[in-house]
Amino acid sequence: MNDGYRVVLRDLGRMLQVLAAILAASLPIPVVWGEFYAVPALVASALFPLAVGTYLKRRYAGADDPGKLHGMMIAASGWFQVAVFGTLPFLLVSWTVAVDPFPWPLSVPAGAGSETLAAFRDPLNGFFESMSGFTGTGLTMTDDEGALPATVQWWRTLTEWVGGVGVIVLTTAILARPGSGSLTLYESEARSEKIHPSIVSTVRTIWWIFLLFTFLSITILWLAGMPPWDAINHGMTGLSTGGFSVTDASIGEYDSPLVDFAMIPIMLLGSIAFPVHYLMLRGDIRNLYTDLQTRWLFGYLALGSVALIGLLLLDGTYQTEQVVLADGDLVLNGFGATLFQTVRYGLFQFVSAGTCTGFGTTGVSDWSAASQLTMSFAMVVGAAAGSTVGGIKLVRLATLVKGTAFRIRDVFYPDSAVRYFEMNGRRLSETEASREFEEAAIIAFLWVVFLGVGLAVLLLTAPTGVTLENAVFEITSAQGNVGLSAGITGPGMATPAKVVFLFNMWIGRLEIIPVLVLLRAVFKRGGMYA
Amino acid sequence: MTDDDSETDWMPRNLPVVGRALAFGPGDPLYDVLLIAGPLVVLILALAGRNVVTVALAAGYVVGFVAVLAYHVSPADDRDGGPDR
Repeated sequence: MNDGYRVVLRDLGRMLQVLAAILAASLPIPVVWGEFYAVPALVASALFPLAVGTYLKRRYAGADDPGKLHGMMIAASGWFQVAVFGTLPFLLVSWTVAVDPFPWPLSVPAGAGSETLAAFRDPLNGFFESMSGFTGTGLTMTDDEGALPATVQWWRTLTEWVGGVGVIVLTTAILARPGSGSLTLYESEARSEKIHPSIVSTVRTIWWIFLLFTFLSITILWLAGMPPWDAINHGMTGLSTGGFSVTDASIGEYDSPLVDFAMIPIMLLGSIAFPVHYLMLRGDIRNLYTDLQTRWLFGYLALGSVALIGLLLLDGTYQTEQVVLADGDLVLNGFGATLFQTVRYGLFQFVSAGTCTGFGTTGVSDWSAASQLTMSFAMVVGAAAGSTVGGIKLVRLATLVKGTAFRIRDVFYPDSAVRYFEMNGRRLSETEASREFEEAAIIAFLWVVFLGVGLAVLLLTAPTGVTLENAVFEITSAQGNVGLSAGITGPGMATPAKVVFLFNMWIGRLEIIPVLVLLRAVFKRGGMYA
Repeated sequence: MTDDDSETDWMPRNLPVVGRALAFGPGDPLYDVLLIAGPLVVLILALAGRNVVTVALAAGYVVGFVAVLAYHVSPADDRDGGPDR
């Protein structure tokens, strides 16, 4: 066997062992909630990847250390295989409830089953949910998340939380390469390289920051009025900008402005690059405005929110006669009430889209085309590289905008003029600048191409009544790993559309290129093109 | 192990489980406390429900984080002594 495959398979084995450990660590959840029937399903879900992972790790124990090419292939194939094995809890719990194979105390109590859980008996639906979770997307095959067993709710949350940590590690430590944006931003002489020079210590640092923010998020949401279980799940999926909920109507279920506004800083935390978080926690708070991506993030979220709120106001989407706040102490009437509701929903939805979280406080399928496309733009751009978000990332948007302006201004200078391209206060050489432009342009191009492919398949398979803006919204949500829905995604979706969405979520998480590298390696080395 | 270990046995960093957790932590005593207290706070909120004490505890945790951040931001703080690993 090719040496490269040995390296990849050995590391895939390690990843499966970690997945098994995560599943095993989830065993207290069904016990605490009295869902004992889910225990065998979880145990089996953990044992299977453990067996396969241990076999692969031992079989290829002597493989070399991974190089950069292996890193890409391990990331792409690893995300895919983790999503495949992560399907097991959905599949096994739903079939356990359907068949009820065990005697007391593992028998299924009356009322445990639901139509929404039954959807996971179809492996494709379970795989969709798992891929959506691990990629931090949040599009779901369930019709009513609140009716799911707590074990399944927890597994959905955990997939997003683990996927969130995974993508930070991926972009700041493993796939950070010249031209990938995050390297340019965090490798400059004035800053610490990435978070730390070594991958192991980088991962450790990411973990403690992520854990600390998780506890903080849960506490804030609980203080805002969420029940503990809801606060735990939404704190985890909000910080990881995943967007899975434990309620049918997402954050809109609480119908509480306080909860809405409490969620906004949590989504923002997840969308700021973690190297910047690290510097700020060390006391270098200036990064809030000196870091290019963070500065652009606040600027673009503010401008986008104002634009969306303006559009919603013009459309009269939230005409409201009266809003009662603070237990009746504050009452808004007429335009004040309309303005408050429009700001509340517009701000939340734009931040949710721009940070690629995907929580909803209101339906968007009946919004005007302009409003939906404004949201779609936010979902394509995403937020900061080095955070948990999807999209093409702000650093690439900044590179394209500044690079285009640089090239145009270049025409007006004499040939002998020496000019430097500056990014984030750092002067780039001609080679570095070209590499940055090239990477940003390639990613943006591939992004549009795959959006087009997904859109075509969706339009061909969607039921009548789905508008173009609905379809654009849905596919950008999938590829941007956002999770907001115009009502198209669900168990009744056509199989080709589900498959295309799975692919879009996968490439969106890995920023396309590692997946293309993997596919090329599989086809070429596998003999198909040899 | 060093000769000084006996004098610091009581420190959280030397406790079996907590010490291992802290080995992955920020390496800053204030953030260490927040990190270790986090799961305990969440557990207490879940078990004890919403009352004056738990609301004060949760608010204290959030305020504590803001205070630690402010402490590190303050010019008097030696940044080299901040969280690191």
